[in-house]
Amino acid sequence: MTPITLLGLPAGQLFAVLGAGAALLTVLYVLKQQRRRVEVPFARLWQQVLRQSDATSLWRKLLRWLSLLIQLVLLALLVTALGDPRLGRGKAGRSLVLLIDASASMQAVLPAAAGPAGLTRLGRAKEQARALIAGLSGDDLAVVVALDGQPAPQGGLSYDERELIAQVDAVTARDTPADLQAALLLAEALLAGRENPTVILFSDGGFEEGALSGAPPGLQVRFQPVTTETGPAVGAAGNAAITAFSVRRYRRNRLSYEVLISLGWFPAAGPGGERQKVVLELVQEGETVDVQELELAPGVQEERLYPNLSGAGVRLEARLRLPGGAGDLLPLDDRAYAVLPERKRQRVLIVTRGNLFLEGALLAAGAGEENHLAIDKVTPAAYDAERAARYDVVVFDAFTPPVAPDAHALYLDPQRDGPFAIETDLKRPLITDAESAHPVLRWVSLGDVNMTRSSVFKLAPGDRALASMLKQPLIVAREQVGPGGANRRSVAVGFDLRQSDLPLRVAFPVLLMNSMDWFAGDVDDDLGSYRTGRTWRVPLAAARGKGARGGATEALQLTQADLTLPGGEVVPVPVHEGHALYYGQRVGFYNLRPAGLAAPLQWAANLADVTESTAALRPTLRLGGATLSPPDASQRAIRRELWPYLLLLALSILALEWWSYHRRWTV
Amino acid sequence: MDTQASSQKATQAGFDQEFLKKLEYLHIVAKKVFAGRSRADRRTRRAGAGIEFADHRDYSAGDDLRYLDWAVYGRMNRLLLRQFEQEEDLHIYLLIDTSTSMRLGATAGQPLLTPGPDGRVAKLGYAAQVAAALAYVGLSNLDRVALYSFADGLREQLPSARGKGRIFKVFEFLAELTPAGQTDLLASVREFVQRIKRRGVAIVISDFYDHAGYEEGLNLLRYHRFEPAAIQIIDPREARPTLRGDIEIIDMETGELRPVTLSAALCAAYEREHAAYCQALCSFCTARGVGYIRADTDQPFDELVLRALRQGGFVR
Repeated sequence: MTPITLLGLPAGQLFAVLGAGAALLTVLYVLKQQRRRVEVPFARLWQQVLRQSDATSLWRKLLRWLSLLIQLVLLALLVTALGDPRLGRGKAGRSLVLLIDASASMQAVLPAAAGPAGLTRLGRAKEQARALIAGLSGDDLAVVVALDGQPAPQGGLSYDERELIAQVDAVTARDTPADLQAALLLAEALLAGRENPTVILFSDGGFEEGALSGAPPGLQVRFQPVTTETGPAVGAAGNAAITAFSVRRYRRNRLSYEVLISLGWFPAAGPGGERQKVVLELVQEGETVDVQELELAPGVQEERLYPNLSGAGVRLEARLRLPGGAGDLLPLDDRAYAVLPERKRQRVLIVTRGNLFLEGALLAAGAGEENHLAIDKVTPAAYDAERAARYDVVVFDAFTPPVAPDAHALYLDPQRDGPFAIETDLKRPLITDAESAHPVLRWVSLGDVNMTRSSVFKLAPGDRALASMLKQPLIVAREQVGPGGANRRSVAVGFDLRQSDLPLRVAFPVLLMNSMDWFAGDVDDDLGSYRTGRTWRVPLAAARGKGARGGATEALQLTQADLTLPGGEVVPVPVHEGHALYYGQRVGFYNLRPAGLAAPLQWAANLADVTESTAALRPTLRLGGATLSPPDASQRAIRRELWPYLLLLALSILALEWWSYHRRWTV
Repeated sequence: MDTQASSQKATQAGFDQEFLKKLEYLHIVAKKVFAGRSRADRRTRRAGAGIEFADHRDYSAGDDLRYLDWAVYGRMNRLLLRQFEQEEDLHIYLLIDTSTSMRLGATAGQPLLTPGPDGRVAKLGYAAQVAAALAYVGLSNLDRVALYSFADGLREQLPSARGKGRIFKVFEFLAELTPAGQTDLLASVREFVQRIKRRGVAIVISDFYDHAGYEEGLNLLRYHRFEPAAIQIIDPREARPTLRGDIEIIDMETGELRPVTLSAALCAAYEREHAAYCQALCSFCTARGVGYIRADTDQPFDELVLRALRQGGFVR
């Protein structure tokens, strides 16, 4: 027998309401009813009539109690309806997660023969999901999950067809790759402990091989391909895509950029086939600056470089099209965007008695009239704190001022009583630990550096040990508020360059360049553009430009900023430790305007995902080595919600009572 | 001054000039209708000073010797006294029921003749209009008209008077009627016949809702050689009730309570019962030569009076 469960008010409350209502009704019936008094001139006539009527008084008394019984039944029906009773699930009932692929490739338009004009793969998948929901059996419990970079359920598990259809309608396409494994883990969590856990995947099947490694144990996965009536839908001849659009600075001149564009041609019929002609345009601030006609080999990515670009904040857009106006499968990846990041010249003051290693390395790092570093040199005797404050970076070589300058600083072999406290000295130390993830030590290897001696620093709050020997810090990075209120960064190297072989290594100029970049606040990751489907961590300090005092501090104090999305919508985004956090879902240009900071920050986002650009349309899918079978067709059962039937019954009883009253049967 | 005060009171009660005009019209119409057979006088068999021979009777000592029929004495040797029909005035007695049941249809604080929201007057108001009309016709015919109100016994009375000029006294009397008490027709009639020695037409204007029955009262009038007539005042609302649902009916006169759930079927049964009651009264009157008129208060009173006059037995 199918059990009944209550999803509305709990049974205890229902009984309380029923008891109170029944008691009230009974009291109203038992209490003598105050009747309206009507004067009649001659009651004797009425008595004669009523004498005949009294013959049926027993029936009338019964009618009275019957009326009470009907009221109690109506009350019971209404109270039960409040409990939202549902027919329980039989053993055949499934617990379903309808996984609808909303990744970028699902925006591919199906051919006209496959349905209405402009119908996308996602549109077809949603149609299929609706049809499946309409065919769910009475015992099937389901929830819809949108499968994109961050899979998320569109509502709760429900038996209600309308609720599930609404969940399907809420699924929208994202410009992100799909994270199938995360979605399967989510489905496993959603269906944990439920009968017959089943995932039905509505997708074009465009997943990386790594994502198809397998499904969580106990989870049955079915695959519903995006098909037409005659079989798998076949779109345009293929998809031409921009798979990468990157900007990078030159190592020597950090004020100039080069742009890398990666292109690919992915035939719909799969690998192989003929080369495809494409036209690539590069647009800078709305002006077309370059047009190239290329021929792409199928399945092979080709790269194009645009060197020596300059200009901070310039918007770049790459456009790819097929000759003759032909359309490809996925228009989304036919455009890519980038913004050349802002970068100012850094003024560097070296305080030294003379160090060719240092000066040479700085020259190699970009010093010179045309480059981004402008270097001045003074002796320790001529050092002046006021002058130092006019520079962006001060490098102290074997000299330590008693007070740190109001600028970023690099200390080489600092002395005692300086800004960095020295705990002890080590002779011939070896660097055993290096924090290579720190921007200063990126691409820097210190594993076999030799030195005669080194100071061991005592870490202060905010200090990070970049290199140490058995937990004894030898190189330390510090970030603190300077005398002028601005955020100031400094790096202290505990040994003298002249008593070490570090200057003879490639690591040294790289260390210097990294330090200069870190002081400037630049991180070369995703320079100018980000990839969708990831959480971006955008530094806000860049919004003020280098050298602007106070900008970093203000950014650190912010908790929220307004982000203008590519579509023009403005959303608030959280700011944490001077970085705006946002999960990117759309390609295009983004504009961040942090409150209190004058200049907005711009960047671009691109799909940059070969798997999505391949736009594969698979009729079958293999997961964990096994081919996924299509979902079962189910027979429609009665509605599982009982409250409409209870209300209908109550209304029927009321109608019957009304009819009998007017037929004078019950009066 | 007296007449002026009476007129003023009567006007306040609704017996205004308009009403008077209607009565005058009734009088004229009545004259035309009954022309040739209607006279202002009426003969009785009382031996009196009339000129038309009526009968003989034995002489007894003390009789006026002028009326001895000497011719009969010559032929039959018997002393017989000639009797003549004596002409005398007709006495009309209007007995108006003022029991509580006659209050039906009255608007609180308003004179009896003031129509309610539905355009109808109270039963007692209607009875007063009918009584006024009959009295006017009677007074105009130079009959002697007296009015009595009764409920559980005789209450107010307006002694016999004649002549149209007395109509304002009639109005004043009628205007001061107030419904109260329980109907006891027998007790009222008994008191009436004991008080009134002059026989005449006794017109009972009532709803005849007497818990003890109306038969004995009407019979008593007959037994005392009055010529009774009955005008039954009925309010259509009591004849055809439209009430529905759970109510408690209360008798206006006895105060008796009775809970009842009124349905259309029950109301229809009551309607039949009420019609049977009225029919029983009608049959009772017809069988005994008592004039009977049913007066529904939604019927204009002047039409009713004309009907009553045509039907006869009321006023000639």
